[in-house]
Amino acid sequence: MKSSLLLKRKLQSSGLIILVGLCFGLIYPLFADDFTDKIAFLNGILIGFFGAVLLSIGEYFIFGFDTRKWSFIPLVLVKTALYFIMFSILIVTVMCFTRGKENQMGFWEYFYSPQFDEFIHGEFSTILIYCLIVLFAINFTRQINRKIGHGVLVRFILGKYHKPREEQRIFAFFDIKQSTHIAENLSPIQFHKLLYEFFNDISLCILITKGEIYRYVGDEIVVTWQMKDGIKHSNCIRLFFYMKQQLEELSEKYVKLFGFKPDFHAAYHCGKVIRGELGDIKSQFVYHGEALFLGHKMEKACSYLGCDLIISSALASDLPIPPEYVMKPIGKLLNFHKELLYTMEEKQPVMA
Amino acid sequence: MTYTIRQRYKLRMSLIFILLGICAGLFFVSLNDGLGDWYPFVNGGIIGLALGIATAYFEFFLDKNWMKQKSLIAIIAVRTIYYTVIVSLVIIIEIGVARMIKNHLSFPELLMNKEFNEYVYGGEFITSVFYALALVAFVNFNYEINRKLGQGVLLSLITGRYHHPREVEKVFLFINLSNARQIIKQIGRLQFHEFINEVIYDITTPIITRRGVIYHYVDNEMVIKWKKTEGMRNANAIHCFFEIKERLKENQPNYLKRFSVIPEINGALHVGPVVKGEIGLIRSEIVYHGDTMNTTSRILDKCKSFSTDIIASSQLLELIDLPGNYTQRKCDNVLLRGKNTLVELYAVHQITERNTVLVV
Repeated sequence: MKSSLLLKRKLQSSGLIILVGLCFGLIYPLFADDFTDKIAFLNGILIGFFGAVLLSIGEYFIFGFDTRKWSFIPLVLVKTALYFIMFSILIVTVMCFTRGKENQMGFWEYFYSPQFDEFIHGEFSTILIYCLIVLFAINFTRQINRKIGHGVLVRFILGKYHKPREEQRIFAFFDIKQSTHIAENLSPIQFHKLLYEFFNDISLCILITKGEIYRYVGDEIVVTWQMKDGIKHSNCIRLFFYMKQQLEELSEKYVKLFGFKPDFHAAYHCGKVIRGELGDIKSQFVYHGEALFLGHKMEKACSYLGCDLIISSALASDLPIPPEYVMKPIGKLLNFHKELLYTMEEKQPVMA
Repeated sequence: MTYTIRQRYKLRMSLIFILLGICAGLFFVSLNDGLGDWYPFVNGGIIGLALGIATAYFEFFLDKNWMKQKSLIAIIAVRTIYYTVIVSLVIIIEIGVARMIKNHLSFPELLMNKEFNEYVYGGEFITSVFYALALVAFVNFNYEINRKLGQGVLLSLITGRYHHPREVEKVFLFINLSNARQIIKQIGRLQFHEFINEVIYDITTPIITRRGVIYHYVDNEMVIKWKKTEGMRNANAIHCFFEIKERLKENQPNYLKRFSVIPEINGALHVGPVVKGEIGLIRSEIVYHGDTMNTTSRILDKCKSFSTDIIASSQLLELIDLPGNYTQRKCDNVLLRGKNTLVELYAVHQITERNTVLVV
């Protein structure tokens, strides 16, 4: 399930890259050639398409998720250089192929012909500069997009939330267990490193369950979904179990680095919130609402309820329960508007 | 001649734009014409310089108030048209003049010149315009993102400066809207959002005048920070809080008119070591961790019980020379939530003329 979700995400993003590639492939002949030359457009499309396919393979299957840990500048430069070489080869290949066909020559025949020689010394350099700029722009934007958070960039450009609006959203609050105790026993730098590792390790889980990181506050991380995204395939609840699984798999690393295995608890709530943008020289997307306030209180309750996962009844009533889990009520809390709280557990395999 | 902080910021950004323009001009030439001839480099440099100035002028110095009312599409359209026209004009004039000087041509001769016509219609001109437009868009885009992320954050993220966490000393000022709950009840969440945004816009000027850096907004709380020396110098951190209060007081009529409520704020000041570092792979942020942050937050909770606007820790007051128009009053030693040692806290007051009369 987890790996298929990841593959789906990769393919979706690849589709987007191919679309962008086709656009840029078409823009070039639009400017450089006149409309009578159909071959130029064909070349543009072919180069744009295959280039984008190569780019997607590079982005998702060669430079994996771990390259996110690299520094920004080396990553952008290395990628741009590599893709640039790929594109140079691709352009020569496509040109030889289509122009060769046009002049009724074979691939290699055209490659050694004077026409091709002329192209290499003339237009080729312009095309390469164009490619270099486009590649740099794509890489740079993608890196910025990664840095500032998924989809935030699009919102900046479109200014979508300039006017505040109301939305129904799911919020999940994750908190490392006994963090005050841990902070006292580790040096401040070590504690920061622990949070760094923890947040890194759960990143992929958040990505594939379509969550959006709302904010980090100290050792707490708040993830949010649009109602339909979170409900679909029970994405929001799956995140919790994926995270547990991920930590379990990596527990050795934590023991080696910090001497213990961290654990976390989570509270889920949903409700109406106001979504908007705040600030002048420093601007931030924010959510305001009772749902956030309550969710935060629920998270604080986790430790004295002794429960790793609590779900409010508001969310529980809408949430489809995945077949491998069961939902259990854990009782009412007086200061939560007497709301019933639930928890979810993995189904125990039935003994035969 | 003295400049205000905003003007200085604009001038500095303009200089960066112009330098970037010149670099980009030279870069294009070196790719396109090779390194053999010096003449294209002069052209590239001059075009870069001119476009840098044009961009800086449009972005920083042109009065764009009329644009605020327009839709996003209109703004994008205006920008695209402005830049396309400017870029085309600059390039064609510069190249034309350069050709006239180099080949000793008069203007009519230039128009008939075969080489020049070939340049304009032969594709090279279009390529240059396209390149320049792409760069202008790129620079503007980054400028905008930088503004959104906050002072200097983009640069730190790009250079990876805090990839490895470091321990730094900072002065923190936490501010919260103490009557937030009541305001929400009165005007509703949607209005409250507008209200809090208005407050933030209002108090940004005193913050940057006092050289504070906004770290983040959390619900109705705002965190401002200084480098230790910056915050201490001229008692910047303390002045900042009272200037914010004054600013909000001046604008009270405005708030009453728009929302029929007025903002009331509390503040907490503290200084100490924190760990600064970058976290997150799918959403990177430069964050501060440490006991200092927690303590400041706890101090803020105490404002209500000591019925004062701002509380400062003894660590901070030991380092700051309190300016003459402020007094400090010791609060009872308190045990902060989650801590097991007593801390010494002081309420800080501004001596207004009315107060002095009362004392006399």
